Amino acid sequence: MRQRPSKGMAVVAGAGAAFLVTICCLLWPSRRDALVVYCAHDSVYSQSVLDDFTKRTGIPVAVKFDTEATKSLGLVELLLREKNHPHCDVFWNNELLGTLDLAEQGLLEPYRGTGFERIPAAFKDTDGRWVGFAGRLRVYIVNTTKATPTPNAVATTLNGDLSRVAIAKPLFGTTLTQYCVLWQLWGEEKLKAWHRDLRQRRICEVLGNSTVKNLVAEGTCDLGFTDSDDAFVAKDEGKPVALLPVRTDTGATICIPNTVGIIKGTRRLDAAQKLVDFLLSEECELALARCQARQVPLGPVAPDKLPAEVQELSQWVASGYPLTDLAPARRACLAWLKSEYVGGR
Amino acid sequence: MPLLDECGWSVLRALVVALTAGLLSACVRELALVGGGRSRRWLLALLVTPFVTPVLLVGYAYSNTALALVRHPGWKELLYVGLLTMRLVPVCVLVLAFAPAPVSPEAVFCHRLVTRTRRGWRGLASRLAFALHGPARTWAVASGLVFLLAFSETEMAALLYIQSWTVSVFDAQTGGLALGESLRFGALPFLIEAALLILLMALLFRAVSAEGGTWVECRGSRGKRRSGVSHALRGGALAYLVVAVIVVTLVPAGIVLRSVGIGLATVLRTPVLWQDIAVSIMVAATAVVLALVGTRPLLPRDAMRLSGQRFACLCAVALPGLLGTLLLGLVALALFQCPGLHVLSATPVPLLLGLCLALLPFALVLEVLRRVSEPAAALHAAELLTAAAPETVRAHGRRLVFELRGRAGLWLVCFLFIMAYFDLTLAAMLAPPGATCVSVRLYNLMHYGQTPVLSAMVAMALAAALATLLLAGIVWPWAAGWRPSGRAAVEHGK
Repeated sequence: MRQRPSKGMAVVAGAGAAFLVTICCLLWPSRRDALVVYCAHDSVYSQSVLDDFTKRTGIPVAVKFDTEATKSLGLVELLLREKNHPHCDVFWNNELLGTLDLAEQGLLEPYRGTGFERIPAAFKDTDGRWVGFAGRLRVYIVNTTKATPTPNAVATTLNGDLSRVAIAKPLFGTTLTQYCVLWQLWGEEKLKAWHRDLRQRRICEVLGNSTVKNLVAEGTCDLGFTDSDDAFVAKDEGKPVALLPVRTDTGATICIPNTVGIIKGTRRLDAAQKLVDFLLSEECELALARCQARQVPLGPVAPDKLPAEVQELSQWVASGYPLTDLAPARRACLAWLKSEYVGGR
Repeated sequence: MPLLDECGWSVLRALVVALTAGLLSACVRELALVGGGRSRRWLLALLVTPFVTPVLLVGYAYSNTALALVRHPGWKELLYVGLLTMRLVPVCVLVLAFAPAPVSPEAVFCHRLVTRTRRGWRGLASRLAFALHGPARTWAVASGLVFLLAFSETEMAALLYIQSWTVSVFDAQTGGLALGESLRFGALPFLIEAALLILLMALLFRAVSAEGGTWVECRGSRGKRRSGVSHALRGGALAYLVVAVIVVTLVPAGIVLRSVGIGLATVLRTPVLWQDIAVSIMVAATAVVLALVGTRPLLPRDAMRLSGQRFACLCAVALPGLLGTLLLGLVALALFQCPGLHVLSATPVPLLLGLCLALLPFALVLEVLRRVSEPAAALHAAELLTAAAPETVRAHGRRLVFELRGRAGLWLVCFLFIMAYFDLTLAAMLAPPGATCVSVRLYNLMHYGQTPVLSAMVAMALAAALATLLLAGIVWPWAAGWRPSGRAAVEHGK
C-alpha cells in the first residue's frame, strides 16, 4: 500500500515527460516551415530586423545565435560540421572571414538578387555566394578623463607600458580580423613579434570587445582596441569615451561588414532569397545604422537619413582595407593563434 | 595562458576551494544539522541558499568588481575563490551529514573512550589511523565532490574574467575550434576528473558494501541531538552562514533589484525575452521530469540498503553529470553528429538529454536523502489513515503524507528546476535553432556590463522561475493526493 501513491506519481511523471518531449520535438519551429537562420550578429539588434522580415513576408524565422564573446566562428564551425546534412538556410555573419571560409569550402549557394545589385563590388563575392552590408569599424576607445583622444596621443601610449591598454583575445571576432590584416601586411614573423611585444609590455588581454569597452569606460584602462558598435554603447551610457579609427601602416581603416549567404542544399530557397534581399535593402541598412550599434550602410543611402556619428564613420569606411582576399591569411593566422591560446606550448 | 597551465591552475584553485569548504563544513555541519524544530529549518535554509542562488546572478553582480580588479589578478582570484567556496560549502555539509559512514557513531564513541588515556605520539597516531579508516574518509568524499564542482565550474569564471580551463575550452568550442580538437583538449581535465571520481566512488563503495555500512548519520540527525561544539564555534558558524547568504545571495539580489524600476518598462516591451523564458521553463521542466523518472528504477525500495551492484549502477549513471556540463556538452555534440543521430541535432533532444544527465547525480543523491530522511513509522501510520473509512480522517492522512513525504519531493523538484533553468553551458552548446534559452540571452548581454535594462531582465527571469515554482507548489499537493479542501474538512471535523 505504501508504494501505491508513488507509483501513480511515477506514471503521471513518465507520461508528462513523454508528452513534453513530444510537444517539444513536434512543435519546434525548425520542424515546421520556418526559415532557419544562423545569426552571429548581436541578438539585441538582429532580432528586431528578423521579426520585421517575418511581419512583412509572413515567413517564420527560427534563429540560432552565438555567444557574445565568441561571435561568428562557432557558427562557422557548426556549419562546417553540418556540411552533409545542413539545418541552416541562411547564415547572417557579423564579419567576413568566416563567410569566406564557407564560400571556399563550397557551402554557400550563389544568389544575385536585388540586394546584390545594390551593394558595391568591394563588399561582395562576384559569384554572389555572399554579400556584405552594414559595416562596423575597428577603433581605439579612449577614456577622455585619462588620455587625450588624438592619433598622436594614442601612438605615444601604444609605444610605452601597455598595462592600462586592453585588447580582446585575437581568437575571435574583429580582433582576429585585425590580426589577419596585419598578417597579410607584415607577414608572419613581424606579427608574431608584435604580438609577443604587446604581451611583454603587459597589455591587458580579455575575452571580448565588450569587456575592453567596459574596462575603458570604467577607467580601469585608458585605451583599448574594440569595435565601433561597442564604443557607441559606452557613449550612449554617458561614459567619458571617444573613438578613433585603427589604421594600418598605409593609413587604411579596418571596416568589417556583416555578410549574408544562402546555405547550399536549403529546402527553402525562395524564402532564403527573400531574406537575403531584405537584409541587403536600404531599409534594413538604415535600421541597423539608426540602432545603438550605428552600423555603416555599404550600399547607397542618402546621407541626411543617417545619424551624425554614422556619417563620420562613413568617411572612415571609404578608406577601408580590402578584406576579400584575406582567406589564406586567416587560415594561417588562426592556426597559429589556436596553438598559441588553446594548444599549449 | 596555454590550456595546460590553465588546467594546472584550475586544479590548484579547486584544491584550495575543497580544503577550505571542508574545514568550514566541519563547523557549520554541527550548527545546521544538529538539533531539531523550526530553528533547524531556518539554519538549513541559510545553509542551502548560497548553493541555489543562480550562478549567473552572482557572476553578473560581481562582474564590475572583477573588472575593477582586472589588473590585480590576485585579488580577483581571491574574490572568485571566496564566492565559489561559499557556494559549495552546502554541498560539503550535506555530504558530510548524509554520506554512508564507514564506522558507526558507537564505534567512534568507543574509540574515543579507548584513546582518551593515550597521550603524545602514540595517541596521535592512533587517532590518525582511526580517522583514516572512518571520519576522514567521509570528509575526503565530501571535499572530493567539492573539488569536482569547483574544477568544472564555467559560468561564474567567465563572468568574473577568471583564467580557467573550462572558460578556455568553452570559448574555443563555441568560438570555432573543431569538435575533435575540443574533445582532445578536454582529455586532460577528463582524466583528472575521472581519476578522482573513481577514487571517490571506491571510497563510497567500501562504505556501502561494508557490513553495517548504512546511512548512520542521517538516522541520527532525525532526532534532537545535543551539539558537542563550543558556543564560540557555534557563533562563528552562524556568523559564517549569515555572511555567506549576504555575499552570495542578498548583495547580488540587491544589485539587480536596485535598478529594476528603470529598466522594467523596456523589458516589458521586449517579447523576445518572454519567448526565451518560456523556452527555458519548458526545457527545464521536461529535463527535471525526465531526471526524476530516470532515478526511480535505479533506486531500491529501501534506500538505506544499497547493494554493491546497485551502487555501481548508480555511479555509472551519475558519472556523465559529475564530469561537469562542459565535457558532457562536448560529448553530446559529438554524439549527435554521428550518422543516424544527426537528424535529432536540430531538435531539443540533445539539450534535454544533456540536462537530464547533468541533473541525474543530484536527483539521485537528493532522492536517496529524501527517502532515508523519511520517518518510516509515522509515514506508514499516515498512509494507514488515508485508507480509513471517514473522509475527514482520509483527508488528514493525505495531508500528513504530503507533509512527511511530498514536501521534500517538492523541494527536490524546485532545486533541480533551478539548476536546469539557469544552466548556461549546455544551453549554449546544444540548443536547437529557434530556441534561445534565457540563460544564454542574459549571459550574452552580461558581457556589455551592468545596465538597468539587463538588471530588469535578470529580475524577470528570476521572477518567472519563482512563479513557476510557486505554481508547482500549488499543484504539487493536488498531484500528491492531498486536496486543500480535505484539510478544510479536517479542520471542520475538529
